[in-house]
This record gives sequence, structure tokens and C-alpha cells, in this order.
Amino acid sequence: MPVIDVRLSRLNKLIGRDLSLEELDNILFTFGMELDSAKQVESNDYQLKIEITPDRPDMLSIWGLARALRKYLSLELGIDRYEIRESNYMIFVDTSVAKIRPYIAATVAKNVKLTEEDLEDLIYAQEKLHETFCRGRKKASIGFYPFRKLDWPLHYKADYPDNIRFKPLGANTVMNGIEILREHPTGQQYAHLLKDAEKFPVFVDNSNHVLSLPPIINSEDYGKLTVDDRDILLEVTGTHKPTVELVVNIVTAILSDMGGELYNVKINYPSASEVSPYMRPKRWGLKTSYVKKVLGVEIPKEKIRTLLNRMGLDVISQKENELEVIVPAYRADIWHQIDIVDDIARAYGFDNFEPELTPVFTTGGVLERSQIIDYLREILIGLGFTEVFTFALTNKDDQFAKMGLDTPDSVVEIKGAKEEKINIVRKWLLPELLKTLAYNKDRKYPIKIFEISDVVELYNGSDTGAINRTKIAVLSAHKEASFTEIRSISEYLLRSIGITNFEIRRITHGSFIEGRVAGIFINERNIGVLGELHPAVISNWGLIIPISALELNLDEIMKWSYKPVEVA
Amino acid sequence: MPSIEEIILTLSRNERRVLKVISDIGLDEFSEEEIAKKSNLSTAEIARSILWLENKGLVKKYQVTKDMIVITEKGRRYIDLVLPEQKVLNLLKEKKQIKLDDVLKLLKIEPNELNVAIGVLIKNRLAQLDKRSKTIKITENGEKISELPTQTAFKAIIHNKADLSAFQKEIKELMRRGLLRYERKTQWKIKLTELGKKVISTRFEIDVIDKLTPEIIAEKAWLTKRIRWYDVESPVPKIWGGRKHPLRLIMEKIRRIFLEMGFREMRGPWVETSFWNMDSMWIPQDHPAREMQATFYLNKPAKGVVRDKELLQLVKEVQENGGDTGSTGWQQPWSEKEALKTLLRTHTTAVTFRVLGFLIRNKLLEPPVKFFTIDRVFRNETIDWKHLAEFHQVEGFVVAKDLSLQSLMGYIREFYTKMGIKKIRFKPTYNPYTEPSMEVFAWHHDVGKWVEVGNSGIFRPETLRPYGITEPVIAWGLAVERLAMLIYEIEDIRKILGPMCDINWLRWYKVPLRDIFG
Repeated sequence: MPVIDVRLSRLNKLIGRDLSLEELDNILFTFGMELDSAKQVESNDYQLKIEITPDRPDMLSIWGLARALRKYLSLELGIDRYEIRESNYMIFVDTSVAKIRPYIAATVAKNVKLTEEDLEDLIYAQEKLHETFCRGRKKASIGFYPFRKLDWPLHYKADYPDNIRFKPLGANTVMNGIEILREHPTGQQYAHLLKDAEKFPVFVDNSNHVLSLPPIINSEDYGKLTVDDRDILLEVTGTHKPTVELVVNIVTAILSDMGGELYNVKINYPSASEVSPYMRPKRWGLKTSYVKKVLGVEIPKEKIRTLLNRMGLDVISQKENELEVIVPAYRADIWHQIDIVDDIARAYGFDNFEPELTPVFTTGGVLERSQIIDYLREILIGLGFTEVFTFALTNKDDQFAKMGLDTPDSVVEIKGAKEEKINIVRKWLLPELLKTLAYNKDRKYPIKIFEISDVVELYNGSDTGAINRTKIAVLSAHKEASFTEIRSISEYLLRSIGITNFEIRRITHGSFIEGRVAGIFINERNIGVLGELHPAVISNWGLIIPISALELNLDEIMKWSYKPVEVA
Repeated sequence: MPSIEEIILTLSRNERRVLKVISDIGLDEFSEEEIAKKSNLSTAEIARSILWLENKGLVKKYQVTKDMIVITEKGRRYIDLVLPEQKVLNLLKEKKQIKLDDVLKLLKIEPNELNVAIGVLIKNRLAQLDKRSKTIKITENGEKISELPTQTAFKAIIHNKADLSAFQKEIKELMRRGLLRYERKTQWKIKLTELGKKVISTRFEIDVIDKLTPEIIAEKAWLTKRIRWYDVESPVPKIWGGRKHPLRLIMEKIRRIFLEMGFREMRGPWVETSFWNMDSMWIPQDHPAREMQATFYLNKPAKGVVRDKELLQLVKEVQENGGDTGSTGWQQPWSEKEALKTLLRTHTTAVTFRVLGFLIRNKLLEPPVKFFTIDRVFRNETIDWKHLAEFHQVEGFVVAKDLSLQSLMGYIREFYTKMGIKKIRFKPTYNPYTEPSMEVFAWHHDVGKWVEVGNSGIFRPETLRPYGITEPVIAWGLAVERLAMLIYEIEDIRKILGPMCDINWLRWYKVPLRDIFG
């Protein structure tokens, strides 16, 4: 969840009400957000961390958050009308960007009063949007430019990186595209976005001044705002048109909240032209019966309108059972009518619904597998064994090398785990039981533990290429641990679930002492192994106690066949 | 306070034997060694009996510090033999007079030992030395005495004689010669308490049945003899048996609740395709949860299949443009190749969608249905006290007509009430595949705040369209380990799942009886 840092006093000023910390906490909760932390900075002020619901990028700025809360608190209602003045500002888009970053949108905002604080918050909002909704600047990226320095019309094109030469933000020398990606810190951070690109996107004015190298960095000379700037160009480029449109709308709404007069910008694509931003609200039809069906409560039309107003939406017309709803153009979270119903629910307040246990007659049931596992667990507990839960994620060394075995081919291998000791999913349980023992070596013996759980292995017959298998592993560690003990347990377990036609045969197995290990077979199918663990294996785990152990394959015992999903 | 008779009845055979010895010794203060000498009990039996007698308040065991006379390294040479002066005297009694060189040869002693021996004999006028002929001769006194006082004193010490007051001079002498020295020693001593003295003066040697045997029962010996009483209030050893893991108790409770509510169990694979884990439920292909930072992708198997081509097409449509659901979709191309990548499932909702996709879509099941699973899920995390890379998730869903947000709240409230979590509150939230979505918060009265205990929602129309489901589907889920941390008051999640779990906790944990939730 994205988190934004705001000062309570500044948020209150923008909301227009003096909310206490408790009030804000409660409002955020009912709205669907969370006050992560509040650090007192002055006698009556707090630095807050607020978790913003991730489908609402329009609330990632303090202005957007304040706007939403103002309406939620009924301090102002409904949809904002954004006056976008006509202009002659134009951006020409060259065909060359089509392959690398095809879309651009822009707005000019004039007479914006920028304080230091505003400027900081604006850049902060830009970065928050980049990180989240813009997917690390991949889908869209935002730039601001001092209007007074621009020579219109502007041009968006792609060029060879060594032809793109300008002074990037924060640098004091002119660099070319390649140097920026290699040497500039921001260039290094976002270089992967232009990897393999023959030409880089570049945004220039009519005098061919480089304004920016999207999505990497702006020019120090032509793309840097200061508090002296009153008139601002907002530009958004990207690879995904709907995202570019939403982002330009979200930031345009911010500039409007900051008091800017908005002017449109004509975008001349090679084959067509259009005007940005795209602030016209979206229309959605909404049946009142649908609202009732989803929420389970009948809400009168008038009430629905008020609730929608508190979410910043409006109803422009209503028929008998249907409302026409308009949604502000900065809302990224309305894909379907259901999302409008969700807004109604949030404004209604989840605390105000009446939970009802709608009767649905069905009968319950457990899987045959679970039932048998329960029986086996009970028997092992009766024998004095304690249940453990080990990790399924492990590594080849623990599963095989430490156990005196070679890694088999049928192991499920994990890519890029953050935890360095993870590279496979367990194929058997015993090594993991030994790991538990290794962490508990100062505990009193006898230690008798077991686990009945799944392992995975490669399997051609499934849609995933792998299969889960339920295994039963039993381990007895004490001075008298013996083959006889563990074989008796094995036979007792098998007989308890009605398996009597098994054979115990001498086998060899790298984890066990030669001559003290046996395989268990049912009609020539190997269903398990038991014996005394080899002293080398015991030592590999840093242990010095005799151990007898058993591992059975429940799927093999029961001859369960593969199913893409098992149900009771 | 038990009576003397009760105390006597609780005495075991060995305790009685030890008491008998103590009463025979008749000393105020004695040691276990002294008892051992006078009885045929082993030292371990004596020690155990003394411990029990002390528990019963009959004796008191305490430490005393004393300067003890001990034999030095040098003195130890004579422990089994006799002192050199005694040897020389014994030789003189036989030879009457002898050359010093011959003494050395015959007795095989060192010259300095001989010098000391001669010094002692001459000083005590037991022998005379002729310096010129280097010959020693016994005197009349020498003939009369059989054992030298130093020899007597030395023997008394070797034999641990208690009273050494007669040998003060000799001990001093032997110390000077470096054969003895003082050493500070701590010793355990035992004495009878007032109660012990009373017991001893009572008839405590009664014949009781110590251990009930089949013979005693059969032969009715218990009719004539009393059976020894036990000290039922004294401590017993701490034991353990086999037990379920504490997580299991929570899982069993959850399963029981689902069964009571008419839910059937489902089970799906740990290794999944991206399709069943994400695409099938309308999670966009550029969702942050799909990055390698969050999800375990696999090298082997690297790719899965979806054999239902029509389903792939339907999912592609709702993903790209919403299909015929009235949704905008994600307005970006959907890649089948991306969907066939394999991973370790990140949530049990994958199992839910397998039921929707393999069973309901193929009409093998018809709504209404209710299903649940409690199983493992995986996240690419670095493991620390707050995070695991795998944990257990619970998921339950209902497909039926007339289900609403209020029904979802009703089912969840019923579920948590049965869990013993009575005070809950719903918070709106965002999940890519449910709308509306709610987090479930429970009031934790020890912490004094609302804590998150679950997540839920109504499946979006886009998620259901490919399976031909027109009924609402409500679902909720929770993480078992998080709940276990609250219930068992454990701060480090690694102590619950995985090898760092303490076996002593598994042996001796308390079952969760107390309600921590308000």
C-alpha cells in the first residue's frame, strides 16, 4: 500500500476543518485508509504517515487527499467543474516515438502561487505517482516546465542518444543521452526503461532547446520550476494511453486546486490530433436495483445521490430505476458499475450495514485425504510423537547433500529468492525434521517428532508441471533409537489404516546405515523408507544422538491419482 | 502438620533403614559416609533416602567448613607402608646393631629418609649412633617399644580416626616433615531435627507394605499389614507426551467452524501457473504483486498449460476490454505466455478459481456451493521475526443467489464469533478481484486496539464471467500464523512455523482457553 507523509496542520488547512488526530484516524478508517503513524512535531501538530488505498492515485497528493476528505466530510459536495481554457499551445509528435514511448499529454496552468512548501509537495506527489500508478515511470512519467522559458510549439520525438545533448537537472555540464544514463544518478536509476532502445525520446521547444529526456530527467535550464514561476507546463509521456490520460488529469486537478488557470494543449500525432487534458467526466448508468442487489440494503435514490456526492461523484439525471452518474476524470478506479456501488458503500459507512446470515443450504465435508491424515496424526501422538511444522522452502544442500544423496532431477527449483537459503521446494520431509532437531539440540532427549504434510515434485501429467504429494515423516532421537523401534512404528501405522499387504525389504539408501535400512513395498511399489540414520548424516546436522526415522508417501499408499483440484 | 504416626507411615523401607542406622550411631552430627559404613545400602540409596527424610522434616543436611588434616603427596608414599623410623626400629629389633650402609641396602630407603629416621630414634633415646663406625645400635628403650608414636599418629590419620587429640605433638612433627598438612574442607553433615528425634524415639520400625504386588493383592497381605503412605505433596518429575502443534489447534477449530457452516473442503497445488494465481481472477499483468520481488517464480517447471482454450479467450477478453461485462478491462494487451509462467501460489484464492474453472465452469458442480481450504502460500520475503516466506492461509467462499455485502458481513461475523472473536469491525479496502472489499478488524483487549484478522470481498463481475457464474460469490480469508501470534502471545513468527520452533514450547504450551478478543 502506498504511504504518503503529510503534516496534520497543512492537511487540515487544505480540508478547511480542524480535525483532531482521533477524528482523522476514524475518518480514514471508514473511508478505507489507515493512519500508519503520527509523530508529534509541535505542541499541536503531527507528522503523519497515511496509507492510501492503492486504486486511488488521485489521493497520492496532499491536495487530492484533502479534496476527497472535504467531500467525504460534506464540506463541499459532488463533482468539480474544471474550466479548461482554449489555447494555441501545440505539441507535435514525431513518428519516431511510436516504438519507444508513443503518447504525450499536457496542460498549461497559469497564475499558480507556488510556495516552497507547495513546490516540495508537488514534486513529492510526482514521485509517489511515478512509483505506484506509473509503475516506476514505465507506463507514464510526469514533467513540469517554467512556461516563460518555452518557445512554442513544442516537439516530442526520438533521436539517437548521442545527439541528445543538454544539462540534466542537478548537473552543471552538458551531457548526452548515453552519458546521462551512465553517469547521472537518476539516469542510472531509470536506465533500464531505455534498455535496447536505438533512439531515446526527447522533448524540445521550437528553438530546439531540450526540455527533457522522458522518462528519465528534465533539463536544468528549461525543465526546472522555482517559486518564482507562476505559469507552468505539465507534460506526461508514456507507453499506455489510458494511464497517460489519467495521470495528466490527476495532476491537472492538483494544479487547479493550487489555484491555477488551466489551458488546454493540442497534441498533434502524425495521423490525428487531440486536445489534452481530458477532464470531461465519465458517464455511467446505474440501476438502483443493482445497488440493492450488491449491498443488500435498499437505499433511496436521493440518499444515493448524497452518498455519491460525498465521494466526489454526481448524478445528472434519473429515471424510474436508473441513475446517470458522472465520475471525475481523475478517478482511476472505476472500471465497472460495481466500483460506483463500492463508493456508495464507503460513503454509507461499513459500520451502518446490518450483517445478515443469508441462508444457503449446503452440507459440509472434509477431504478423504484430511480424514486419513487426522487418523495417522492421532496414532503418532498416541505413540508419544509431537507434531512439527517445517518449512517447504529449502535448499539442495539441506535436502540432499547433508542427507548423503545426489540431487534428483524431479526437484522444483525456485528463481531469485530473496532469502539466500531458499532454492528449491522440499521433496521429502526428513531433512526438515532434522533441521528442527538441529535448532533444538540442547532440549532433553528423547525427542520424538513427526510431520504429515506436502512435498512437491515435477510431474508431466499436471497443468503446472508439478504435483503435491502428502508424506508422513517420523523421527525418534535418543540413545536407544533403533531400527526395531521405527519398523514397529511403521507397521503399526500401516495396519492402523488397513494396509497389511506390505513387504519390508533390505535396500540401500545414502541417508541410512548400510544393513539397517529397509524399503516398504506394496505390490512392488515403493511407498517408503525406514531405518537408522547414518552417523555421517547425523554429524552433518551438528547432532550427536542416534536417530531412527521413517518417511512414507501417503499418495502412493492410497494410490490417489492426480486431480487439478480436489474437493470433498 | 502431619502427625508422628502419619510420618512413620510415609517412610519407605530404605528411609527406615537409614533412620535405624542413625539411631544406632547415636551421634548428634553424622555424614552419609558414616551411614554407608554401618549399612549395606548404596551411597545413592542413602543420598536419596536422606533427601526424602529431609523433605519430610526428619533430618537436616547442611555444610560445615573445617580445617582437615590431610596427607600430602610426600606422605602418600607411606600410606600402605610404615614410616622410615618405624622400619629402622623394626630392623634394629632384629639385628640389634647395623651399619648405616646396610640399612640403606636392606630397607631400600633414600639416605634423607634414613637421616630423618635416625634423628627420630636418637631423639627418643631408642637407638644410639656410633659416628666413627657409622653403626646404629638399639637401646633398652628401643627394645621395649613396639610402635613409634609418629607411626601410631600416622595410622590414625590414614584410618580417618575421629579423635586425634592424643597425637597433637606427632601431627605437628609429621607436618614439619611435610607428610601432613591442613586443608580447608567443606563437608555435608546431617543431624536429626526435633521431629526426627521424636520419630526415632517412637516405634518407627513397623513392617509396612512398600510396593503393592500381584502376590500381596492375591494373598491378602494387606489385611494384616499397613500399606506405606506416600508424601503426596512433594514434587514429581516434569513429563511430556506427544501433542498436536499449536497451529494445528487453530486450523482444526477453523475447519470445524467451516464444517458447521456447511462448507466443503478443497485442495489445490502449491506450484501454480500465473493463470490460476492471478490472470483467472482479473489481476492485471503489470500488477506489483506479480513482480519477482513479491512472488516466487520457478526455473523448474518453467511453464504450465491451460488446456481450456475457450477459457483462455474469455479471460483474455475480460482482461483486455472487459468482454461483455460492462467493464473497461485493463485496456492493455494480455499475454498468454505471461499467464503460463509457473510460480509458488501466493494465495489460496488460486484454489477457489480452480474450483470455479475446473468444476463449476464444466458443470461438474452447480451453485449453491460453499468451499474452504486451509493450506500453505508463499511470498518472496526475507525471513525475520516479522516475516516468513511461507505461511498458512484460510479461504472460504460461497456461490449462491441473493448474496450481498450484508451477507458477506453476516457470514464473517458468524465465522469469527465461532472463533471466539466477538467484537469485529469492517474496513473498506481494495483487492484487485473483489469489490466491495473489506478488511476484518478485531478488538484485542490486551493490546487495546483494533487488529486486522482477515480480508474479504465480493468477486468482481470480470472475475466471474469466464466461468459462466451469474450468482454472487462472497469470499474471505485470513493468515493462520498471524492469528496464532496473537492467541499464543508470540512475538517472533519464526517460533511458530519452521525449524526455530522450540520443542519445549511444543511439549508444554497452554491450549488457548482464554479469550483475547473482546
